[in-house]
Amino acid sequence: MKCRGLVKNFLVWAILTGLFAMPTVSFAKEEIKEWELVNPEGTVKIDPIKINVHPSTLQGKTVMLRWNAKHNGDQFLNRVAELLSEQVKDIKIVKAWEVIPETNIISQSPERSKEFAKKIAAFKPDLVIGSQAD
Amino acid sequence: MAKETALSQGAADACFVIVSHPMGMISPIEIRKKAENLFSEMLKAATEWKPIAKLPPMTPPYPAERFKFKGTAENIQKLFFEKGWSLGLPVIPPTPEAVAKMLKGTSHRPDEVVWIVPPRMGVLTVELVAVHAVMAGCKPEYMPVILATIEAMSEPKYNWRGATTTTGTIGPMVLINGPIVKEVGIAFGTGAAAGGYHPNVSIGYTINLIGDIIGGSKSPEVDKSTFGSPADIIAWVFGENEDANPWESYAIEHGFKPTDNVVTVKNVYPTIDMADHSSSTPEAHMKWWRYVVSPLGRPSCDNPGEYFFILAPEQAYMLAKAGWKKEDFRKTLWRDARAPLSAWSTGTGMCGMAPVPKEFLPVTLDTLIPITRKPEDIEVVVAGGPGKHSQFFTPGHGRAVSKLIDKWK
Repeated sequence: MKCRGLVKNFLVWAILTGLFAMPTVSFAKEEIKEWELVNPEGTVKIDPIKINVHPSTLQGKTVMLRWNAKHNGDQFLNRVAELLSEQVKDIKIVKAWEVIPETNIISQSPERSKEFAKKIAAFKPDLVIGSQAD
Repeated sequence: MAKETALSQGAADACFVIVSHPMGMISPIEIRKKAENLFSEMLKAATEWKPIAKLPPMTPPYPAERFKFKGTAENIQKLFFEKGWSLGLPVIPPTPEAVAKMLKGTSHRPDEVVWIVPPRMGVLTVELVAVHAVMAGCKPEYMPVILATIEAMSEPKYNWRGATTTTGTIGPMVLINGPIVKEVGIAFGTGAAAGGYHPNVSIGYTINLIGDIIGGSKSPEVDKSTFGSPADIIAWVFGENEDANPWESYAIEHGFKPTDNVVTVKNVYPTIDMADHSSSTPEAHMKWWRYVVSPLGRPSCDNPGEYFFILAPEQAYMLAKAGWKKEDFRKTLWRDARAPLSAWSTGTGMCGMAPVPKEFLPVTLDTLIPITRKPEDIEVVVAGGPGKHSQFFTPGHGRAVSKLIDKWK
């Protein structure tokens, strides 16, 4: 009986001690503080270019089709050429890969892209449709 | 990616009709059907499209914006990741004090513009290089190497833009030569391209942080790499093992002095390992190389860049002991590591995604096409430690560029 009383007292003591000790053995929280940081994004520098207005109709106009040599780009554009010829009166289609085959490649640089653009512009198309990307 | 490219060239808006993947490797019937399905949209775009978007505002690049943030260090990691200012790995918070300390690593002024980084056309100042170097955990003494690397990458012939927007699995390779390798502690022996070497890893991380944050080439919006690689996070950074190199170093071979500190950069695909453990003659060894290296991996027709062969010192030693020079290695490989044109072409004259270059003409479908346009485009570097594993990098966009490091001290 006396033992049971001692055990009971010990358990109560242990529980009460544990409850009071909990905050001191809990994991320390990370400190919230005021930071001053530098934005890593920086600014941009872009020189604007003027975009030409699209023609209001393709009737009687010259449309150049440009392919970058990626697989099936020519097949896609060939079908576009067929549909344009069927549906648009007096349209003239020029396929860049036939008339300026040296442009039928991924340009790989803005400088070479400009070079290709000049060659395309020399044909004075009213519109250029390019099959780009993959 | 196309919109970002158009924007970077000054077109705030551009006319697109999106054709869903795949375009390549499908039948002519399927591709024609795609064209038919989109034709009315194309016709509408051709005649009715008008630009409406505006260019973003331009502001002075220096000093970089400071901002206040209240939170824990963990909160900063979350903020930076959500804003696209980290690549998923932790970053060191770039406080003004940390940036000022990093700037002591170079005598160049913080407001100096070192690059307009494509495709976003972000203005990269020396200050911002220091910011990213802090984020990657660099030490100030790494700044000259980082700045020289940036200088090299900014050269048009390196073609940073192409490499960071392609579907190819391309990352930067940064090779360092000269006394600075040991001064700064850049790894060049065992595990030269592995983890555990602070300069290599933190410099490699800085390069890609700059590319993604300043240059905007984040996956998947702009960086379209089909699979990607760890080199998209930590660039390949290593020193040449000049102690173990039985020949002249890459830098000396390319006209630099032994006392010059040089960085060389090249866009590359991940390495392929060559593990010849047994050949004791150059002829037997080169037979391994002949079958490991294939021009179908990177056709010389549409990619005029250099291959980089990173020879393990023990394999280089075997070749040199037999009297071979680098020239013998490159000439033999160029002669033997070939594939017939028929492996690519269906008789249309295309090899890969380009016409056969004029230097290979005339050709038939049986003509054996080499890995590079000329043997001089096979570069030989000696790096790594004991072991029988050499590596080679096939070329991504552009050509290798070398720059002196000391001007950035």
